[in-house]
Amino acid sequence: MTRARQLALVLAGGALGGAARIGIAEVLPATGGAIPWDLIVINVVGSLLLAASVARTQARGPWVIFPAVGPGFFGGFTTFSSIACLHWAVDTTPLASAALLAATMVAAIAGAAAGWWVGNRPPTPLDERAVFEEENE
Amino acid sequence: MSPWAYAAAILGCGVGACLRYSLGWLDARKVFPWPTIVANVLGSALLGAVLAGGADALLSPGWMFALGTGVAGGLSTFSSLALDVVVLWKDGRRSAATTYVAATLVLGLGAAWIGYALAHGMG
Repeated sequence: MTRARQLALVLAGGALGGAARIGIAEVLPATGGAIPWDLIVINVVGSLLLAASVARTQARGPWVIFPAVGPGFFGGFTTFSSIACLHWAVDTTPLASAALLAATMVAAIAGAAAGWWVGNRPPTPLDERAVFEEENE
Repeated sequence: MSPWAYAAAILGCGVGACLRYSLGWLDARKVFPWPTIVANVLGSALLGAVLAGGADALLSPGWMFALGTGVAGGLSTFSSLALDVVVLWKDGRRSAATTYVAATLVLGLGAAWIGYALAHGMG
């Protein structure tokens, strides 16, 4: 696939992922507290589903539209910057917002581990480089 | 927020995702997934700058939404970050996984502060 075609898929998937993130944030009731539950749920669920789809494609063969699904949709759906900048968006101390970022990372990594386990049934060997190639990172 | 702001944020998220994906082409070796760390660092710096611009009334809420929630949101990612750590860990590269987590945390937060301070200084 040409790079232009890959970028077109990423653009479309990324826009859809962003629309889903914005939509969920609008629909979920604002808790009014310092913890952005909507973004935490989005990041954990997105990490779980990305890991499941990558484990699936690694074990069972690639999807032609993967750039739209992985780096596009799940990449655009989940977000790091809003949690890294939480300190200015809600009134928390820098230490509390850093702790929340670390906690979100732990939860998302646990989600991805569960997603990999679900997608990789029956278990097959992992090719680390092939994963980074598929995700293009 | 106007419908145009929503459209701009959604398109901006796609553009941010394309920027993140393009960073992967800079890494030919594909041994340590540093492009995702760079994307999260750049996204955090951009959102920090956007929030500072909003606080100083340099940016309207619509622009903040398009550039912050949209472009910075699409450029940064949590799903690849979590998957990278799981893959490194499963491959037995415990110190690489630990380095990845620490670098993401420290550089991401540092970039957010630098972005905020730089944009604040401009205002």
